Amino acid sequence: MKRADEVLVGVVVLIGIALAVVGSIWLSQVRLGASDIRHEARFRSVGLLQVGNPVLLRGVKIGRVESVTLGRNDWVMVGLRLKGTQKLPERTVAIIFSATLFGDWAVQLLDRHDLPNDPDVRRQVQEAALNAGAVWPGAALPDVGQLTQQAGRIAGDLATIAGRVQEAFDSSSAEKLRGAFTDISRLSKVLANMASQQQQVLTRIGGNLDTGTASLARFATAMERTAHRADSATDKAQIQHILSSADTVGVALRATATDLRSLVGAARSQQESFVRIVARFDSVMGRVNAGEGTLGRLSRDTTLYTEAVATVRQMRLLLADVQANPRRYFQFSVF
Amino acid sequence: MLAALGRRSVGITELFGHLGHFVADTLRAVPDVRTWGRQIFPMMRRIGVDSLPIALFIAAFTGIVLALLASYTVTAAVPLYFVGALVGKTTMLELGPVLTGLALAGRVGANIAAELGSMRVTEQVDALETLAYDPHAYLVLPRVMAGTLMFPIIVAFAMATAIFMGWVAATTLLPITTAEFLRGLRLFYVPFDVTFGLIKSASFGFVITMIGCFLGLNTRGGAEGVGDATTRTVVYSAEMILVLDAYWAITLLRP
Repeated sequence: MKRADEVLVGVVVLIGIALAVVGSIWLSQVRLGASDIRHEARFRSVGLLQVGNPVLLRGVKIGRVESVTLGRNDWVMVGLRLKGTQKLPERTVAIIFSATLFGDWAVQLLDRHDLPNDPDVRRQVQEAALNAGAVWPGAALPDVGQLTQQAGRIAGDLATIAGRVQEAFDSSSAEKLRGAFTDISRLSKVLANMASQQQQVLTRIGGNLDTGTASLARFATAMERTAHRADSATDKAQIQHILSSADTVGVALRATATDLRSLVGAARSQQESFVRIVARFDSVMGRVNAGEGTLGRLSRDTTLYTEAVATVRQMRLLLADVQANPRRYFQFSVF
Repeated sequence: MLAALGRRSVGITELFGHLGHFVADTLRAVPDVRTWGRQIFPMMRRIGVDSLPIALFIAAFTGIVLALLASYTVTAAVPLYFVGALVGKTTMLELGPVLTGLALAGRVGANIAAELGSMRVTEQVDALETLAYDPHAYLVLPRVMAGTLMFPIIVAFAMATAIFMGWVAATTLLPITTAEFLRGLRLFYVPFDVTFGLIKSASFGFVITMIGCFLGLNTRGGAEGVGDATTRTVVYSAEMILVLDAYWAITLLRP
């Protein structure tokens, strides 16, 4: 009986101890015998971070918070137990954040280049990185409580503004506001009329545009037709014909060019002759101007002109006398 | 009235004085291993192993009720995996040790008080003293040590059972998966939760057995005295469990 008691008690005690130890280890998610690595990060504040909270890398859990203690110079040292198989960022930074609304905090490991674009977080990391050695720099994102406080302050400010608006909104303000509403109503009618007129104008413009568009469409159709023709005219046989015609034209052009060259040569010789003639004429004219020769003397001596005029006058008088008295000058006989 | 109050105060002070003497006598009996050593395993069986069924029964239903209460308490804004967290934390920190302690206060404390009270009123204790047996070494120390050692074991079983039944209830009666339940269970778990529960339960075991032994060995009168000692043992044990619960919470859980 006594031996049976001992065995039974021993079994129960062993099972009880095993339950407590194994259960605790299982719930703590401690991997016995695994090559876990311990790292340390430091923060100015860790919010509600507790031992056992998860450590995440790109959102995947790779470890847990092993310890949270106060360190020197007002730092909070956080021990992180990570799986040894994970490849960590080169310049690891630990960011503490509130994972849920219910105090579920976590540590996110990031590369320093991937820090959130928050000046406060960057300042915290920069401060924690100074003379940190092997300790990872860390920063804490604002938690829900802080955000709620901020929202509460904003709500308070809104309430203050609402109160002031209520104070300013007395009976005279109401009358003025009513007048303003009347003015606005009148202005609205005017604007509505103007809008109606503008709408009519716009309707006309739209009609014109329609017409123009139709003309453009017709033009486009004609252009398309022309393009079709041009396109059809450029089939293979016609192109050959055009090329052969162009050859013929080229030959003719070449002959014409030869003729033109000969003509130009003849013209050049004619030009030379003409230049010579002009030169001679110029010398003749020079002598005439100088009063040399018959023409020169004629051009410069008015006596000849006067004599010629008198002669013409005498001739006219003579002609008139002949016409008046033909028998004085002419004798007519048959035999 | 003042006189009655004074008499009552003196009586309580006297009681604590007797209890102090009783505890000191028990501690003085610790070196007498040959006497209490032979009694320890039968006592561990009676106090511990035989108490397992009632402890596990209570724990099983506590786990089920906790899971359902947790799901009833959390609203749509709170994720359901908090059922696991609530079941785990509540069981380990509070309900496991306290409910088990209260149940064993009735079973173990009353049993010890009745047994030792009967021995006292039937002069069996006097006979042991006549035979040069130290009643503290032969009767008290095995029971107190068995209670102090076995209560944490029973509470460990109770914790495991409550959490297991909480998981069963949550996964069968609630729209929650095993993964979600485990996530909540592990979410706020720290190893100290178990340590705290076991420390509390050891203190409960010590106090319940000590009160049972003290009131049993100080039984006066006949069967009525035995009944009175038994009743007072259960009442005092229950009160002391709650006082100690508060004491440990203040000393160990206060940040």
